[in-house]
Amino acid sequence: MRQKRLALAALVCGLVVVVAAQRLAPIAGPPLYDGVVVADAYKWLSPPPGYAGGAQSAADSGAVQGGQSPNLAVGTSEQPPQAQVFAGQGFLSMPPGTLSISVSIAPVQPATQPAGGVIAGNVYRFSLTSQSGGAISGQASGGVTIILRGPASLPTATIERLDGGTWNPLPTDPAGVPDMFTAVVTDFGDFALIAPPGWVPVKAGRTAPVNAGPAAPGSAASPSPAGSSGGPAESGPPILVIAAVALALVILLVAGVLFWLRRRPAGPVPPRRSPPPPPYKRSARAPQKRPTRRR
Amino acid sequence: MIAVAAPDRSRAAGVAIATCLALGLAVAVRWQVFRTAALDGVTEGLVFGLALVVVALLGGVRPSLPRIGALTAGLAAGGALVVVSLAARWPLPPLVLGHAAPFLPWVAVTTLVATGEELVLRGALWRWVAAAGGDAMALLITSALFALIHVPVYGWHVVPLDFGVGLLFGGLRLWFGGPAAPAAAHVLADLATWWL
Repeated sequence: MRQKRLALAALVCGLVVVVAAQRLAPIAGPPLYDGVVVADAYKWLSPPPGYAGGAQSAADSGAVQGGQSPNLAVGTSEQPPQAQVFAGQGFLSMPPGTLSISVSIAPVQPATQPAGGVIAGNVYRFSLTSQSGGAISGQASGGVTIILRGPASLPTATIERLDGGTWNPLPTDPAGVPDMFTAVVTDFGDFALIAPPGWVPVKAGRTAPVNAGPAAPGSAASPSPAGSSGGPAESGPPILVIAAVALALVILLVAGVLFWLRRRPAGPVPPRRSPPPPPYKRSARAPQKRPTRRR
Repeated sequence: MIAVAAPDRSRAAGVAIATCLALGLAVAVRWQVFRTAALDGVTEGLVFGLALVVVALLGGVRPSLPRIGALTAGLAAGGALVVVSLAARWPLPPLVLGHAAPFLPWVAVTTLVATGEELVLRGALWRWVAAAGGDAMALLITSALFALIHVPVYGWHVVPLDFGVGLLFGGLRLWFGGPAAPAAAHVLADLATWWL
């Protein structure tokens, strides 16, 4: 009975924590909490030698329904998509007379490099327009997000928007899938993932060459898998810090259990019952007291 | 689901610690593979899943046929997790992940990994920790470990969610007395990512 009560408490607490975690800090998409994510190699717009090219574009449109912008979910065709935009119904601000909304996502060469980091992956141009070409924006209340996937082993990155020749960071969250990040947007244009200075991606099976230069002139300012920064082959510190902290927590956890066990009063689980005393019987081996014979 | 003799506490604690370390080793190997992109996702999952099953077997898990009630409840819990996840993003449409893998191998590996995690955490480890410190201790430790083992690949932001899911799975484990129910929930929620 006690076990059932504990089970019920765990189920209720677990559900409350799950709902609270999802509402307060929602992970943008699956996996819900785990999963095997299989990703295509990152497709570069201007691939350096040894890296895959063929970054894809995407385009779609949706009709305005009852004066409200439609639900829109558009992503490039890589698996998982390298660039996606989501807009909930009614969360786009449209010019008067808008009947339909056209969405396009296209990889472009970067116009300029960010000051405090490295462009990780391609720069993507997000464009949302009305049927007459009028610009469309997201509402300040939210409801419009973009998701960018970077090259493999991207420990941390910020989604930034190119605004007047300057890259401006947006509040960015991990999308719940390795190397993917999400941000709420109100304006569209050129977006990219910006990794810490010195970052270079890892190529499947080996690390990227540190000093190899990008292939195309345009990619000098592009996501440089082999960026000329001369940084380490992997931007290790964040991952190493995470691993070290995780290991320390596990050790602390185990040590805590041991400490708790030492302090806990004895009593094995499940408790051992001492056998009931046998009915009185004179033992054959017990020394017998010989009755004294009275004379 | 598990056949172990009633252990004394010190031995149970020892086996629990050894299971923790073995689990940590499996996670470290997976993380290294992920970090260096040495294997594709399906192969990486296959290696990790097999390692988990080995750890579970070494930890004393002896599989047996699960009860229908446990599987049904697990599937219901997994469905509830999917609904909660979708509702949390409302009004945004769900992200379409898309996997760069054939469906059936992906299903097999995803099922293997999810089941392996449950066999280790809510199977072997739960049994030994509960024997050493009680069910409440087992619930907290397995939930915390469930959250921590996902940090290297998915980041710290998953810890609150995964801890809550760990509690939920622990409740299923307690109610049905074995890892079958949490394994069913885990598998369903993970498989849903193919379509979401």
